[in-house]
Amino acid sequence: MKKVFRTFPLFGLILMHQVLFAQNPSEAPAATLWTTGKIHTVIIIAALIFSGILFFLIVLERKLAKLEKQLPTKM
Amino acid sequence: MYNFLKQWWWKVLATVLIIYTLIMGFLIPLGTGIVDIEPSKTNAGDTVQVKIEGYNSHFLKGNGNQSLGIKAFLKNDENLLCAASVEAKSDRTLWATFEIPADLKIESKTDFYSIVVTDPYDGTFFLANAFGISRVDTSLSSRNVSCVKELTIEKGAATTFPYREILYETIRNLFFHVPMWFAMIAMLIFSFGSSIAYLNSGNSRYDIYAHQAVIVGVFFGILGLLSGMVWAKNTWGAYWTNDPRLNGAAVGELVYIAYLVLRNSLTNDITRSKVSAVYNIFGFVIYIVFIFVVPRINDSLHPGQGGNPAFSNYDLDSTLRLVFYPACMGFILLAFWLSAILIRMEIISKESAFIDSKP
Amino acid sequence: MQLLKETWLLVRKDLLLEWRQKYALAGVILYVFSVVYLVYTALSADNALKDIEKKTWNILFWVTILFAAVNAVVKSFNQESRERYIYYYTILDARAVILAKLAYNTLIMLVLSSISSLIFFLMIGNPVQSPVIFVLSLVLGAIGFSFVLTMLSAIASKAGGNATLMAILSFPLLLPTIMLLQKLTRFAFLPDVPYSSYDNFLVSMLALDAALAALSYILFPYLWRD
Repeated sequence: MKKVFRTFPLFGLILMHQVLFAQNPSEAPAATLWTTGKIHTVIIIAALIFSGILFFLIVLERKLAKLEKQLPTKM
Repeated sequence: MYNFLKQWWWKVLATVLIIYTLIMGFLIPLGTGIVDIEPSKTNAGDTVQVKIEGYNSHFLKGNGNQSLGIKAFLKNDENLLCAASVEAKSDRTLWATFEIPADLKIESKTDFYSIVVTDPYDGTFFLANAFGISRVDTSLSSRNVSCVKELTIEKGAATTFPYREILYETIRNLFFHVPMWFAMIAMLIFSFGSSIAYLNSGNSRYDIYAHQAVIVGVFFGILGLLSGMVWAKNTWGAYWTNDPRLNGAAVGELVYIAYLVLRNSLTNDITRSKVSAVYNIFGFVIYIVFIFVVPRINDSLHPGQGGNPAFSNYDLDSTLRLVFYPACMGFILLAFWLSAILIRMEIISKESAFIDSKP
Repeated sequence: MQLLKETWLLVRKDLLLEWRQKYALAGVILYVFSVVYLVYTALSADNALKDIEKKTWNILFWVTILFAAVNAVVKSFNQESRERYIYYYTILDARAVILAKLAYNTLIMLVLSSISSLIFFLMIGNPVQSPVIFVLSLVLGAIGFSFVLTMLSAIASKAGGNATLMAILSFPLLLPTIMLLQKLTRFAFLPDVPYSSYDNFLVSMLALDAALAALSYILFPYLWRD
């Protein structure tokens, strides 16, 4: 559990990096727009969905491995 | 059905559609809008210079190359004021000078005006009820003002998704969050049909279809709920609201998790198939009643339901449709794909168990 | 005709059984009374009984009926011995069995909900101003609850008549019924409600009950067969 909490700031940094990167003087408004635009919500949701599908695939893989052991002919 | 599940063409189609969704969903820019104006209020009789901050705007493009130039207006139900002069400082900032007549008719103490900008390149966009005009001298007679310049609604030149306040870029979630729901319903319908086929024929393959389709349906339901919670937190301010759509999704999860529990608590194969098929049909019909009748009675935050018109003009937006329909189709096919793999595995495991049990 | 005759015989048999073991129904009524008494003591301690809101009354009422209904109906298909069910199977039409159970459970639910409403009126107060709508919602509610629960108790009895399973299966499926009912009951608290203001709830409730009856009638033979 502790480990999970420790990784949170890391995620924060990864996200922050994008904001800071865009914050050179001439581009300053763009950075604020980027946050008002809320594109991060879309990225989080898309990531959530695709990691969900990935998780499903992992479960599928394990199920398949179990199945292969049951088969009379060894693969 | 089994042959269909084994075929390749629709799996290729699913891949293509999902890749298309990802590319188009992220690359088509958001339409132009106004983020902020400054100052946001003035008194009648003043001349005021308003700084308009645009989002995805191309003020210089319009101002420099086109003969028409940019027009700015202040508008409410009765009055239309137009800017005396408009000057674009950059693509994102625009200065508009308004001369507010001293005898402008003001209904309450402060009337709120929407600020509307028409740009030859970006089309017409606005910030609703953002600019307040206050009354100073009550002795003056008042009149309605209508501008000489005509305010026409124009479409922008570029292909964009509509710019909505509160939603902003999250309008793209339409292509990721909503298809989860469609995929879930598609799986539940598939499962319902398979259960009917099972009761009619007694073929145990249909029972496997029904079972695996429910698993995939529940999985997509959970993804839909989670992604919906993230989106809701960012637009409505709370992870969970008492909304018929949310309740519908949550109750669907409960009904079908109960189905899985029921299957697990039955030990005899044939009894299990029969009883769970009966429950599946019974539950599906009640569930459909629940999601189609109850929302019509309650109000919803979701578009197109209850007293919420927020989306209605934009739901039909052709650019959104261009991505939304393929996205739904893609995720529905993906759900079928996942269920097809599960079904084929289950059939093999049943048959191999049969082989194993032979001495 | 034969079907109706069998149904009538089965309903009579069930009523007779109920009459011989009165404690079953008495137990459910006692249960309702205890719940209402609990609510009463909790509310009167804070002197909140006087200004209990109609909404709260409404929800408490239907939740009490919900739990009472689950308790009353759960035993539908495992109160008699297994051998006797096999005997019934050899001589009876499955459709007669389900029709009889639906009718009998509706009857029990009607008795139960009228007694519950009496207890509620006596102890928590009577906010009802349009009795017709209240009675309508009681009847439709009794039908809806008994139809859903009868079918689910048949399903749960196949898995050993486990009460937890019954609760898991029935609560999500009873949600639409409860939501429609409490919307409908809300109109009973207002005087002189025009029919047009609540007709869509009434019609939806009727349609739901009809759909449940049709589903039970079609699906039950598959459960009965093995």
